[in-house]
Amino acid sequence: MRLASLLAASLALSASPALAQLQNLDEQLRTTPIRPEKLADNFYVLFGVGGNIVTSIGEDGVLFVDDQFQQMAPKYKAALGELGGGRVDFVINTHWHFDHSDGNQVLGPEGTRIVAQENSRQMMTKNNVIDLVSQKRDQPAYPAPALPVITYDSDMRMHFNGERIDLFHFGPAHTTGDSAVIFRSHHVVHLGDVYNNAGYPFVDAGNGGSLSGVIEFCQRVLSEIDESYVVVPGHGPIARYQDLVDYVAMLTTIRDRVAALIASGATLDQVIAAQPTSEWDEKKGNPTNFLNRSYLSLSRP
Amino acid sequence: MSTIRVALAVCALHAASAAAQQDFSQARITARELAPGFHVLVAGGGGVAAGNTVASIGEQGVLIVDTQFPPLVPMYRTTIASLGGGDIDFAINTHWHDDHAEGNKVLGPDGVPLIAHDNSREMLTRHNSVNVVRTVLDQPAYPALALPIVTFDERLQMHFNGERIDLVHVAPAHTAGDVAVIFRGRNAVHMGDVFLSAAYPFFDVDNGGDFDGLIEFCRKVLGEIDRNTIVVPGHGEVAAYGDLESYVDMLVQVRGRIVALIAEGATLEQVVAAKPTAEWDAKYGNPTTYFIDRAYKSLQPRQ
Repeated sequence: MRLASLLAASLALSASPALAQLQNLDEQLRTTPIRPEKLADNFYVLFGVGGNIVTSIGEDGVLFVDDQFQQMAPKYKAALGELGGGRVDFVINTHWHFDHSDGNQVLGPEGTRIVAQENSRQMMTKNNVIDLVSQKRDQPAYPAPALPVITYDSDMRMHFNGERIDLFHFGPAHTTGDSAVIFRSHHVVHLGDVYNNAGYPFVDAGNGGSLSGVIEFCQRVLSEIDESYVVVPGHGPIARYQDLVDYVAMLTTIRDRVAALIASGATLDQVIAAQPTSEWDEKKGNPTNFLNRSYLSLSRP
Repeated sequence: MSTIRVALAVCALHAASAAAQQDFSQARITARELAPGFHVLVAGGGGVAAGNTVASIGEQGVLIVDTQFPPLVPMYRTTIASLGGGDIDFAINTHWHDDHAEGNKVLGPDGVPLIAHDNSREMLTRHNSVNVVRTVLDQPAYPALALPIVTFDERLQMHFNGERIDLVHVAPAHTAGDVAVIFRGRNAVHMGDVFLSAAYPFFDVDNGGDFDGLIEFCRKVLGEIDRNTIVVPGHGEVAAYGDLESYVDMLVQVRGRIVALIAEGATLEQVVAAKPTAEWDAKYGNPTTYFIDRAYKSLQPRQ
């Protein structure tokens, strides 16, 4: 538990520059409340520990995008009650990483229907190791009731609480099983960890994630939405269309620099020494782990 | 035998607003186990002509394919209970025609998640007319709670009762929103009305159905299954791989003949008179009630 916590903390950490605050995940899980931020009537982002949750509450019931850690489930259920919601009818997992889907192990056995991209479900059926650079984190296979019951390859739709919800997968990005979830009436997209608004992104290159894939995934999402959209990141504060445009521009510049360095024969240490992210480090934090995963991703044929 | 064939023909014309002529008080559900925890539920009696329902009953609950008519819902719920099942957890519509989807009006409001192809949901939101040649059936828009909550275009997977279930849409066929539902563990497929085991197919041409698409659809499914796969038709007796294969062979030959006749400038009456289906009529019934008419329309050269 202790090791898991530490490792978990470090994954969350890759999403946050506030490293010191995340030293003790157990403490966080115990003390951090759910903080709802209202986007519209009956439509909220729930901040807690782990990935940001989007929830739609209405006549068809309650739909979640992502479900954080098991320990947060009692808290978000209580918060949901205060917001007028009942049981969670559907959860969409943006991807299989524990800080976004561990709550499946509470909600699934209670009858919540879980939806995910096919590759994410396959990962959840296996024991995985997530190489966070600073540490390696084990994520054991989930029990059957915690697994998605509905999966898709490239796209599917839900029709819930009076609006159409588009699920898109645009190839390997943060992981090989990412979903963007677009709420067409609310003009909101949840991008999971393909978009990190709390630091540089973590590319799970050890499990097939791809930096160029992150860029392409975001570009495809941008072409599906417009400037009126609210963009919910996997971690960090709620953003706007332009923030995602800026993120893509940053990643493209960094990707091109790192790719050029690799083409010229640079080692990882040489790439780090070249400081290809320098103009964003003040805002995004220490780039070392990000560059490590980027280097691995871009070194592949 | 001929009464069965007539009944099937009526089914193929999907009894639709025929709900009025059906006496549901005389109807009953017959269950047949195709594999452990896997049953086909067939409505019969009272002139009732609903699509075949398949039910998976297991540790995760109950999933059905096609929902028949509202008065039949309590009946098949009772049947499911007698087979050891509880509440229905998911219902898939193979397409939007009322003899396969009207039960949504009971299940949806009860909270059962409904799953269908994008185009089928779209049709269910509208008032439609289905031209079955002898008459035109009316299908009003469904209320919101009877509409599918999950839709897809090409493929969707479910993972239920220990097996993977593939939902596959290929092309416009019987309708523009058909789904084949392939149960990988049980090795069975529900074809909806893309395949009828003892009647010619009905192409809902005025709503986007298509003869060539139906052949393509069946071929795609044949490529996804194997010789041991149980093939459940939209109506009629449960069939086997070889039955679907010979159905495709029949359609390919009939298509060739009708296309040739059209190319020669034949009218519909001349096509009918040419008896392009003669050697199969003993198996699939009278081809003139709807089949040749819809085929003739579907196979007109595209402008």
